[in-house]
Amino acid sequence: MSEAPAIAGDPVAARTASAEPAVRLVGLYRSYGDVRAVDGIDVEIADGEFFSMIGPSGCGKTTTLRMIAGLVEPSAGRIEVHGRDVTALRPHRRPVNTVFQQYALFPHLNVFENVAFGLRERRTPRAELATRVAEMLDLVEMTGREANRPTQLSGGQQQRVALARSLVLRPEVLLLDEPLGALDLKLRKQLQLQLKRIQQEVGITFVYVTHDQEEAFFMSDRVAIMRDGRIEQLGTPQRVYETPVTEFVAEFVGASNRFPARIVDVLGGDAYEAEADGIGRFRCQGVPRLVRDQSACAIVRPEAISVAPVTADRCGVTATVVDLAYLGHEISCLLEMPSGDQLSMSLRQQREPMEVGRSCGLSWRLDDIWLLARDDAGAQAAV
Amino acid sequence: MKLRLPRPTSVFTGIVMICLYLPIIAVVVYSLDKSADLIGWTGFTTHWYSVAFHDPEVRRDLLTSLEVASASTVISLTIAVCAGLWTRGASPRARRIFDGLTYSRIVLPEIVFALGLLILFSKLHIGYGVWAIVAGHVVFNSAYATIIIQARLASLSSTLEEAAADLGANRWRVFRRITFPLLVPAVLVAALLAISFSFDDVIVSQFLGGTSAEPISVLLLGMIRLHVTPEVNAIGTALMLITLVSFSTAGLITVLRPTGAGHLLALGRRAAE
Repeated sequence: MSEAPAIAGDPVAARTASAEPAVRLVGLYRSYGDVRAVDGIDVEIADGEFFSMIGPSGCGKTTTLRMIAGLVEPSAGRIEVHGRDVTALRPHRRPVNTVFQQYALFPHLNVFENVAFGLRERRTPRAELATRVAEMLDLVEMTGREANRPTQLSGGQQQRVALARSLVLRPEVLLLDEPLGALDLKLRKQLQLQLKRIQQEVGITFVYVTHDQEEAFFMSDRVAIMRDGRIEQLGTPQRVYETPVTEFVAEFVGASNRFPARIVDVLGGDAYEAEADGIGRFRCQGVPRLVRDQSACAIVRPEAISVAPVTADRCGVTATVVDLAYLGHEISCLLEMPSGDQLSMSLRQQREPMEVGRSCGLSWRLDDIWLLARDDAGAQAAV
Repeated sequence: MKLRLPRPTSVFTGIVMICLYLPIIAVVVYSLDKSADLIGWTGFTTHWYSVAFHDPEVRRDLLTSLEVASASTVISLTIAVCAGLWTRGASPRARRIFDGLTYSRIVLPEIVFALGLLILFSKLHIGYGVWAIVAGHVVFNSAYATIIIQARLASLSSTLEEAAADLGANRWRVFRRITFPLLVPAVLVAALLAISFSFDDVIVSQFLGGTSAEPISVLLLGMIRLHVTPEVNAIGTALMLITLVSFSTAGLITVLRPTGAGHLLALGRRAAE
């Protein structure tokens, strides 16, 4: 494995100067006629961070990325890279580079010339150019393929060359637009690992766009869940998964069981006492600023439910198995409560014989309940 | 074994093909025939080709044709590339108007605009000659070239140019390093087409040639009026060959673009993996 290239950043001064965030977006808007593709984005991406933007199609994540790259002009707002306002700069002048979904390798140039493209534009001297290209091809494990044309490479190989082509320029920020979208599952997983490794070795800030929640969670330090041109929630994968701020976020980042609940008492510190049909009263954590008698939604993740008795720190229901699905790494059970609502439970192994029609006493820890404001429309939009 | 009669459509097609190609075959055959009378086959000879080759008029006019063809091709291609790049970013309305102007140059009968140019040049006191013919050829050659270039540009992904810009190339560099190299196959095809059309053209060449410029196509027309010697057949066959080779090369390029034979080899290799 080659040594990681020297700290990214060109000019170097920008990086070492201050703790300026790698990217700062201020009041970013973009409309196409009446449609607001990006509807007010304010975010700071830290230096060296692996930052992902995820969301359903049309949420504005790709448009935002292209605005950072300079390929789309914002209708309003400001874009800063390490404190420098780049909003008015054309793409070729910005210290950022992009890896595209379709790789966009130049078909009339071989691998070496593709990777060397940006360096040639900068009139890099021949010796240095050759060294840097070799270094980068080594990093992405494509050494020996310099003479190949893009059409002779597989999808995964093309993606690695595209990555090398951008990284060789030592951008201050690397933008990736669903780069693994066109690859099969196994290859995607491999490349996710490689991308993560490379990002950590090289230390460049990655801004990653994907519609695949698992992919984003696997690689990112922080994720931004986007919807209708706005960021709905921004945080570490753990925070977003365990404490989603809306039903939309809860549904987008994973399956969840949603129980309509009523707030009985506000206990302070984001703790509440609530009541739900079939479950009774319970105490749990939730989003801030819920009020008494508010119609809320309690969510419990399928993996938090197990066949166990209710105790002081647990609550639960009795339900009947309606459907079982063996997925390989887990067993997904669908159960029906007396009220008629359905519950989804996922088991790692089958400790107890589960069969359709069996009645089970289920329970989960109070800690695993999370209260949200009700938002049926949001929940539907995420599915 | 039962003898099956050919289908009526096959018979009809066969007859049409024979009618179309018989005259052409006749020209080729009689260019190689010893006798000057177009009656029967008297023996093989390349004498008439030699006569044509040594004929000073033929040589001068062939040169004129080449001059006209190259000039009109270069100008037409420049117009076509600029037009193609412009229409990509133009509004739909502007595009519609421009396409109308392009197609009208193809659809309009040549004699109409040849006459129009004749009158125009006369009014503007522009002399007839090589450059007047070039202007006339550019009228239709630029239209064909524009369509070919536009088609190729449409098939190029804009992401490639975005990637080039992203990597540090300004608009001119993007054109020079990415757009134009990828356009080259289309440019070659358009060039070969334009050269062929220029060589074959008679109407514009006659109207605008005046007394000084006579492309070989006009010379042929004149020679036929006087007497059909085998020399005419020889020149005709030679011109046909030039056109045939041009079109075939254009066809090959279309199949083998953008990276030439390497593309086919690569496909074969990947299929084998």
